[in-house]
Amino acid sequence: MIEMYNVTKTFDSIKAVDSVSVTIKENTVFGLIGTNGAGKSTALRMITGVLKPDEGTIAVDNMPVFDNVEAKQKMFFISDEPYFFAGSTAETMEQYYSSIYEDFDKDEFYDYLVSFNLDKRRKVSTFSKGMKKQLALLLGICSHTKYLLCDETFDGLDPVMRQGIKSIFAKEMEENGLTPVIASHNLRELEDICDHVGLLHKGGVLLSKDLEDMKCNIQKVQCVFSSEEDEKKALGGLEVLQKEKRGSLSTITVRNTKEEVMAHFASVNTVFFEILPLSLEEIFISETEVVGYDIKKLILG
Amino acid sequence: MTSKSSFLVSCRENNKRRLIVWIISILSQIIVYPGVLIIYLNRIKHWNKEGSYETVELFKKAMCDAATDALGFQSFSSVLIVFLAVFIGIHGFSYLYDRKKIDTYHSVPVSLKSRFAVVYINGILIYVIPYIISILLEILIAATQGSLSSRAFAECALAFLLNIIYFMVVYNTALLAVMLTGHMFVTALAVGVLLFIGLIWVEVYSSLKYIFFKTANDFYGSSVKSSSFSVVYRHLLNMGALKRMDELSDITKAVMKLCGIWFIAALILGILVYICYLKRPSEAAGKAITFNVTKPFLKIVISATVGLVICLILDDVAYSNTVICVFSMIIGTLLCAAVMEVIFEFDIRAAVKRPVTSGVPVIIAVAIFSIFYFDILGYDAYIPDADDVESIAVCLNFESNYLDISNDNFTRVIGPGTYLKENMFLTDTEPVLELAKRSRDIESKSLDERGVYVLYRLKSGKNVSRIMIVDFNDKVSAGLLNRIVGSSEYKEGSYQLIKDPSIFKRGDLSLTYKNGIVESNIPPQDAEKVGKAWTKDMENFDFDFARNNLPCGYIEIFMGISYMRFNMPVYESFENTIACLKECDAYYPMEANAEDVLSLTISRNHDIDIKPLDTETVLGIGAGERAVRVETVTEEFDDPNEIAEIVKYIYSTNINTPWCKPDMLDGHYNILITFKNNKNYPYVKGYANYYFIGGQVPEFVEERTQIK
Repeated sequence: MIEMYNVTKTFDSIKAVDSVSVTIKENTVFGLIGTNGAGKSTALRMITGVLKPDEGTIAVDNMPVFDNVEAKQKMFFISDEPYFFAGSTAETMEQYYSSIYEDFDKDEFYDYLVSFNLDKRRKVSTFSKGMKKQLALLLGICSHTKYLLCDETFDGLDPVMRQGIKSIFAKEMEENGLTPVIASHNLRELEDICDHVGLLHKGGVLLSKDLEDMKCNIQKVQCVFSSEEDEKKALGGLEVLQKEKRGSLSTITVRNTKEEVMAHFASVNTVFFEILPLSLEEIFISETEVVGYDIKKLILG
Repeated sequence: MTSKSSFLVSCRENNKRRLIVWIISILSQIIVYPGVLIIYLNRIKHWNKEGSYETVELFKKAMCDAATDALGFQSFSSVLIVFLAVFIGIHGFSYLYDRKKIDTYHSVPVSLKSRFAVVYINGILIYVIPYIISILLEILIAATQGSLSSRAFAECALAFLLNIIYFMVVYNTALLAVMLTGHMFVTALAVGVLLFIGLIWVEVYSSLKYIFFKTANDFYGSSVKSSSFSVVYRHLLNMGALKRMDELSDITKAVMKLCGIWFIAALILGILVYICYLKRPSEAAGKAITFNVTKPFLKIVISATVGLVICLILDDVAYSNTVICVFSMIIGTLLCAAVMEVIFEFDIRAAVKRPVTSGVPVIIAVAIFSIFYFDILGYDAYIPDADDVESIAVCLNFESNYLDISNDNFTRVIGPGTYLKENMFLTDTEPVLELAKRSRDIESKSLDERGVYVLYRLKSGKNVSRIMIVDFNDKVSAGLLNRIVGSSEYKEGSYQLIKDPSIFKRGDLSLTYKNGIVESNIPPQDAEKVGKAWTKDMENFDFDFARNNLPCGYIEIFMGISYMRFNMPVYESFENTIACLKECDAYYPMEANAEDVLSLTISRNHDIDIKPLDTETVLGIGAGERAVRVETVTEEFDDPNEIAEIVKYIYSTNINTPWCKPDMLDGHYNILITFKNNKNYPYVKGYANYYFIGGQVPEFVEERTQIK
């Protein structure tokens, strides 16, 4: 488990991360989202021990991380612009990482290279941006660390590759207990990958929740009430987050379980009633509006 | 748990990324070491072909000497070491400049300590291994050419040791610059600052001292040595000095001492580098300065230094115009502070930021300037308390060179300051201190003011050097000088021939008595006798005597090995010396024999006032001073009676008379004597130049040389 407690980091006079407390549980895909400058990269760089926090503590499996080799053996960091040595190939990068990470699996790495159609002897400098990201991901996966921290790594990957990486993540999570931590400025990039999402804004955490919890607790209902009395009766006792009416069709977002909503609506007359699935985007809009933020401006722009 | 990567594996991985540095190190060292040896040896072979060496032994010796030169202490290798140390140092830790690289290197499970050790030690190996290979190649080449001697081998080993430790000093200096900065451009500037700012400070201090302090001088050696403040300059001087040393034991001793000093410097710098590396925040990558706390300090120190340097340059350019100097110093300091802010933030708009830290260096520069300009610390007024003085050395600047008696071969000539510092110990300090007080307190307008170099050796162990202006015409000063010059301590300290009469026993001496027109050799076997006689006569020598008497000649002692010349003045009252010279058949009177003179040509210089200058100042002539032009009247005298009258009152221009009163010789007249072919004396040339003795110009000469 990665625990950030009350972590603050300031660059000159700018607070990049301000009193952030986040817990990243094992064997989940943790998404860290936020606008540019929200503090995602800084948070990841502190978690991986690149930066030292000014205040607060960071622990990886209960070990402090800064300049701690034991803790760092559990992590692999893929920065937003992965660095490859001048004139290096996939093979030379493997030689470097395999000399550093105890569990680096060379055979697996070369198998993946073939699968992803990456030439092991081709100079990395001639790779496209997407290929470089793939290579960085493969190096990270084959290092077999417990935590794989990716900073904007999925941005720009084509859907096929995304799917490929997702499959590998799933396999690694199942077989080796991998915990990927993915930072992105784009909510839609994370929607199909993450189990837990932390939203950073202006250096602070707006929310950090399991996607399942969020999905279970927020429902979107579309219905046509028979009368206003039915409407009042149906919504009474539900926590309405948003309500919209077009003609006789009402669209209502409520913070309640599906069972609670079903029970309420069962007692009233409706011409039409349906519970719709919410996209991650809609869940975030609802959640952040509660705390007074317009998520569209923050990360959907 | 630690990383599985062993130190050697990490070194190997690190070296993969430093191939270019290896190549440059190997190539440059092979060019500088074996390459230079080949050039040296070929040069000797070429000279041998031209017949420069008479015997095979001489040729072999030259080859061995050349090999020793190349294998030993090469000054130009110092430059290569600086280049390699800086290049290797910056390249090794250059990842610290780049965020992408930092993210990679600092996120992987390698501790800061082990990464530092790998990069640091690899850097040293990149220098040392090619150096060893180059030396082995050199030895192989020298051996195959038959020019390898045990001396060359020994010097090579000592130079190797010294160069390695010197490399460590410069390497650590470069690394310190890397650790303190976050951008390669700024690192390059920082390396320059760290290696050379000390030298600039010393030069600024010395320049300000000489411009503003009347009594400042480095006659006895500078109290602040430039070389002590610059590693590079110091090493260059060391290599030159070691090359000149003869005895291997002396070289070994000197090298060990230097290695000890360099090692301490390298160790201190290395510890600083290590601490800075551990403390260096990763976010410093790409920034100009790593630690913000150092910014104001750097800005103040560098800006104030630059301001003072500009002031000194302008002092020279603007003919010491104080207003221009101070104004330019202030502007220069502010500009430098602004440039530093721009560098710190890589933003031109930052130039006007932080006015306080821009103002402080201006205040410091002006304060330093004022300390010198107004002599706030009383440098010129300083005269030590008599109770604090152990002994004093003074130099009236009349003897120019001395032999280094610490050198067994007597082959090294040293300057008077060096000699007097080691050999003159006046314990009667009162007259010197009194002279210093008169020099400080009484403004003299005498035309016979002389600079006297004084070295106060204080009981505290400190040496203080000053120059005092002494009026030789002042009676009180003359009395004090009489006590100084008449003392045996002065004579022994000032005249090496008196202190070390063993010089007269040397076999390579040639003694010649010269009186300006005649030169006669003294047999070498009589050298000691002449020396004793002259030393005896010198017992009565004092300031009054020297001021009021003109030498009638001098004995020149020439030492073949060192090409050193001593001049022993001979006065008419030196009865013992003259008797000795007469015994050797070497004495001749100074006056030319009138019968030998064919003609006399007398040129008289008349000073013609141009215009009285009461208020204006023209070309350095102060208001009220006399501005003259010189008009020369030349007359020839060939009448035997006139010649006989004139030769009584003339004095050779070839004899040095530094002590005499200025009016003892009349500088307005220049007399050229042309001798006949059949002469009574063995004159050196067919002509000779003379002055008239002061106040003894015959009337008929004065009349005939008036402006018509």
